[in-house]
Amino acid sequence: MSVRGTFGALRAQFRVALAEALVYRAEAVLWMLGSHVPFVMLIVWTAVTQGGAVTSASGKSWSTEEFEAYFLTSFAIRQVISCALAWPVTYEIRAGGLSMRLLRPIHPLTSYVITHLATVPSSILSVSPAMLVWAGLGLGGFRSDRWEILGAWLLAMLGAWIMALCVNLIVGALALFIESGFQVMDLWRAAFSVFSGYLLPLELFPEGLRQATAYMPFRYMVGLPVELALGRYDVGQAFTLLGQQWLWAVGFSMFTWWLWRVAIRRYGAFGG
Amino acid sequence: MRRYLGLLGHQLRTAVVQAMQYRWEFILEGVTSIIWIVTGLAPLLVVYGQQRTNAMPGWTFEQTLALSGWFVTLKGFLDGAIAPGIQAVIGLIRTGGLDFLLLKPVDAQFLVSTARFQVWRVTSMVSGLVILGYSFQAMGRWPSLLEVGESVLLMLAGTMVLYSLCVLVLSVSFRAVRLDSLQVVFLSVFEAARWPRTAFRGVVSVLFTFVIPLALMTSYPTEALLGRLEPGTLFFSVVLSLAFSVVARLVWRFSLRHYTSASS
Repeated sequence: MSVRGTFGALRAQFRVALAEALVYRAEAVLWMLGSHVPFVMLIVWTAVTQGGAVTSASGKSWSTEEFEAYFLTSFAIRQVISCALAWPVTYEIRAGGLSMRLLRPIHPLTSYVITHLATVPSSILSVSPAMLVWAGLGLGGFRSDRWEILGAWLLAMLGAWIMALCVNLIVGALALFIESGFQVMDLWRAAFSVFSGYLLPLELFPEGLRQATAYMPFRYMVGLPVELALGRYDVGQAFTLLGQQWLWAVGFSMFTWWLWRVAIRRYGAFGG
Repeated sequence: MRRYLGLLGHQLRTAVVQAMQYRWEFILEGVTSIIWIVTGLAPLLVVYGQQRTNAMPGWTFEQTLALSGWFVTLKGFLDGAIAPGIQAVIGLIRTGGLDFLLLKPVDAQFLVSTARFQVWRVTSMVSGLVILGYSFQAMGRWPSLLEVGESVLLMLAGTMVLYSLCVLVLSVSFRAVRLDSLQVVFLSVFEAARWPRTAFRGVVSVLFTFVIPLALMTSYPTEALLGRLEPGTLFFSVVLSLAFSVVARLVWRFSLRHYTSASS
């Protein structure tokens, strides 16, 4: 297929996937409401700060306003970068649907990336009104006035998005090797919920554990974008952390590519 | 009644046989459940870190841990006995398979409630009881027989409310297409029940006491075990649970009457 033809096919696939993402608007809103754990944690920490601000091991003080900004931003960022491709990919492989994708002149991985990319506009659309209101009230949103930090944040969001996508594609590919790919996803989600900064700010961890999270991929998927948005770092620190994140993102991407190459080689169609 | 108990026993035996067919998955699911329980306790440990003995108003660490143990037990029951059946039936409604269920000479609500069980969730229930026992040992006090009785009664009331809410969610599925994510929303809201009711104030407190009575499901039974249940709470809880059950039953029957099959 020519380059022009390929781009035309990808554009068509994007438009179809975008239409699918937007058609069930009620379901999209419900999925968003299903991710309200940050609001629950915000309520909990607000109750805790009634007795005074919380001080982290590093000496930083967390007041009610700090928690409001953190969890509202965490909620919004999670909506944009979250990915649930593992389930449809796994079911497609089990049912033999991957055969049809392999017959097309577009690599299955490319198809999946385009499909997930099409969900980003609807995610941004669903969360933007709330974020504008919160930012207007001074509760959440971007807090740095440095354009370098804004650039770092945008790249961090992209890196987090890539990492989330890769994790789901890796789990999806596991369907070609083991019966319990979903168990792997469950274990990942359990670790992610604690070490990513989604459930609670990593700064509040004991010092040793907080330092250990720097060597795990989870914090770069939620914690880093949130902390950049809240202006926690200067430009040097921001780009150092960004570099660390992108090492993970590139590593995840290469592993995903390699795993799918191996997986497709051993794929044998079954089912309908 | 004997007939329905017999059917329930049969459904449970079938679920156990199905679970034991894939032993490794059974073991892995149990281990995963325990890992989720441990990660669920992490926020509690951080909230009460730095010697904040009363981080939650009126609740010490051990008391909140007891509430967490209660929550884990109840969640195990929800995930193992209620949610799988609801999820299965939502799929049947969408595909028209519910028609075959309705043809059977058994109450439809009973059938949809016992459609599927996830046996490995027993590990969650046992883990929750272990956490509960550990917390009371750490407190250095054990509940009296009366307190245990009150707690069991509140547990039953809380379970009835939980079940009724799930039936209401299921009833919505008759009207709405692809709203099985409504169940995801409900299960997410239920996560708030792992925290004491004193954490919630204002509108949220009213919401979690009367509309989605999470306080009834976890806080009240734990307060009963701690011997500090407020007067009238037991009566209020039982009445509320009966009211929810009646409403859920009526809404279910209404939904069923207006159900038009997806098949011919």
